[in-house]
Amino acid sequence: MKEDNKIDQKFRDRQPLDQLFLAWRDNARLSEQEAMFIKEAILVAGPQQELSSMWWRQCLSAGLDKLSCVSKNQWFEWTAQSFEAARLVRP
Amino acid sequence: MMLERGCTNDDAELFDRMFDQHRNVVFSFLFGRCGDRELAKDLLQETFLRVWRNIALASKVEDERRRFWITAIAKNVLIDDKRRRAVRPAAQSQAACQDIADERQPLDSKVESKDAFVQIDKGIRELPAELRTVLVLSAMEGLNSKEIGAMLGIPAGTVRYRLSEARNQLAERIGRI
Repeated sequence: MKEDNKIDQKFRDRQPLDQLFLAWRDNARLSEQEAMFIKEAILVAGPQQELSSMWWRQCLSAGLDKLSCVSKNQWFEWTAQSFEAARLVRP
Repeated sequence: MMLERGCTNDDAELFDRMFDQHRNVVFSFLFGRCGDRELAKDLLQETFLRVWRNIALASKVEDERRRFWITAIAKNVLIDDKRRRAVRPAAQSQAACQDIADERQPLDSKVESKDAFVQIDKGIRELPAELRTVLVLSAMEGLNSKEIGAMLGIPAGTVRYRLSEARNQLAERIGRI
């Protein structure tokens, strides 16, 4: 839109701020890896209606080192067990 | 892919598509509202978990309305999170991200120093949420004022005003004009 372009131009005139801002923006974006990890956690947490996916993400994170040496199903199973253990000690 | 009881492969494909298509804009919205990248990731996850659990409903929402449908869910997630924090202020995710910039990759030294980067990160976090949200949606997703207005339920003119104000305030906060 024309109005948006006018504001953009005004902002671009402040060169030092603009460059910093673009660098900040690129760094702040969600990475592909982060997105994939979040999606996996959701698909694992989905059937557990009463539990938060955030807890799953912690367990998934803890189980990442095992991913390379087991099948995906085994990994999910291991993660589910970790999750159960974490849930039991949940404050 | 593990499927929830009652979910079909079509549901899973729809979820995949919706996640890939809308994750960035929903993340930017959440980041804009809460000003905390790590918390925004958690809230994004919670938002799409609710999408997944309501995938049968999502299939009835028209393609072009889905962004707004997910944004409505994200708004509820933000409200729930705020309520949780009011009850339990020392929430775990808040403490984990006092210095977001430190945890992420270093920037190109030709462009700026790390101190300057931290400064701009802090400046953005300190902006009022209503200004930060339009700034982040515009800068990170390239949405125009009309699109941002439709997403937030405010007129495009208000978006342009807030965008201009956000940029002015940010410039003042980091001392570079």
